[in-house]
Amino acid sequence: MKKLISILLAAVMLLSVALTVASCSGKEIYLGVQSGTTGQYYVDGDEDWGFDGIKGYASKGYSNGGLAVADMKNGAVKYVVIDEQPAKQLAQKVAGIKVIDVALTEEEYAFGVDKNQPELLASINAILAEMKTSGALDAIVAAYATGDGIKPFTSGVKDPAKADKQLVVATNAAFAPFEYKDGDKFAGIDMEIAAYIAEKLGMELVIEDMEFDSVVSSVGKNNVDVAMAGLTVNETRKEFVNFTSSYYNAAQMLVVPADNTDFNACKTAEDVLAVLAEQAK
Amino acid sequence: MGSLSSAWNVFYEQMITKGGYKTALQGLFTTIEIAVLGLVIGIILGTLIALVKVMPKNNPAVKIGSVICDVYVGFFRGTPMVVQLLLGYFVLLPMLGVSSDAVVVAIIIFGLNSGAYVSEIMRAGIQSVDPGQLEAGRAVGLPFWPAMLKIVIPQSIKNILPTLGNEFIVLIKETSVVSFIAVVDLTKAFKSIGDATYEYILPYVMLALVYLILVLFVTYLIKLMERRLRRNERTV
Repeated sequence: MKKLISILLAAVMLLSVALTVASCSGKEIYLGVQSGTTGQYYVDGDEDWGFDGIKGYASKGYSNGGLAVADMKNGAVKYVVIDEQPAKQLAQKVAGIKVIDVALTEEEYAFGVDKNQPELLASINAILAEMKTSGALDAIVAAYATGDGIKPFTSGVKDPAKADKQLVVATNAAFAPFEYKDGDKFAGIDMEIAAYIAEKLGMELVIEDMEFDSVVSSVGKNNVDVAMAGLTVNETRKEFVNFTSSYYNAAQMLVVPADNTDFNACKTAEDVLAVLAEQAK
Repeated sequence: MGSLSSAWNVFYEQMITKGGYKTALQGLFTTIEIAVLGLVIGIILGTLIALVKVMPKNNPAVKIGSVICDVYVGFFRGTPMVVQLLLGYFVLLPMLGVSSDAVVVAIIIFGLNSGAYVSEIMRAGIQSVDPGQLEAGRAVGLPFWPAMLKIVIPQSIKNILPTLGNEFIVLIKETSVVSFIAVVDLTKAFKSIGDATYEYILPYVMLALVYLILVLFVTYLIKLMERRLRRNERTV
């Protein structure tokens, strides 16, 4: 009996070693992404999103784009796939990288509202519509494009006793320029829209800063009313939240080392994918 | 080293000029709060469980209690802290329909988790005391509980203090995962500075230093306490 068990154990160990070796020698190339974001589904492929995935590549998830880019410079991932605005912000602040200015996807950002609060959804939609016509939305986006006139603010403190007087917003403040921490204050396009909405609703704004993976699933629990985290509208997320009308058209883009010239001739997403496919051979 | 000095400037701006230190201090406080209160709950729970485990098993109630304790200890030692936090905050609380502050949830989960570990530490401590001590107490007419609480437990605490200190240090460091349930702790505060500036070297090095200083300080306190408790011992 003991002999049998030891032989079994040895077999399992050998098998796991063999599997590890096999998975390392596979020809898969890694693309850095922010965990749980559209970029990850775009690289790996996902039915709900309608993405086929990029053949020969697999994603490596980081808790934010900055770390993904840092690891690209270390050589652990070949390129980074991330949303357009964060990509451009990264290229501005981090030396030695650049953005390939080709939209790989077309997507829309919206806020995810608690399914049990249809009135809140309606009022946020009304405020968003007003912001679009009055130009308040454009002003916020423009402020973050130039860096002039941004208004960081301090979050309120969550108090379950005042649940109906507080607008609790779930976000992942690691996604500049949509949401980030500016010193001890919150800043970003989503954050300022949140502040605008809270003011119109006459509620106190509370920001709950958490991992991006938790943002959507947190809505409707523990008094969280809305998710505002550069969320792309998609079917899976619709199971958890009701989306507002969209407020921003976004796209995924490729971030590459500054000295890379492989994508210079690329005009469309197909061109970029063709170059990637060529390199995966 | 030009890049390091520019990294320092960016870090200084976020940390001092823009008031990031306030978040960091709050984070430090939250970290200590969760670890200390978690340990207190852990010690109370752990002692109770350890007592159930060492009680003579001649009573069916004790047997059932012992099985319940085994299940509890098995669960909390067998699953990662992050999973327990996520289960507690995103599954259990909404299921019960109560809403609570994430810090409170973190303290409770850390207490429950630490209770499982402390129970084993305590049991080892109680069993390390010579059985003759309990028997002597019983022989002079003390009932089981007073004999346990007044004779065995005080001696066992002295034996387990280093291990208990170790558990506290582990708790302090484990709090670095609470940002999963939207608690801003020390790690989260420094991470957001890195996320805002894309400069990670300084925030992470500073973060490590703060934890190190905190743990060294705790180690020093435990040493002081041990020395105090050894005063009655014979010197060799």
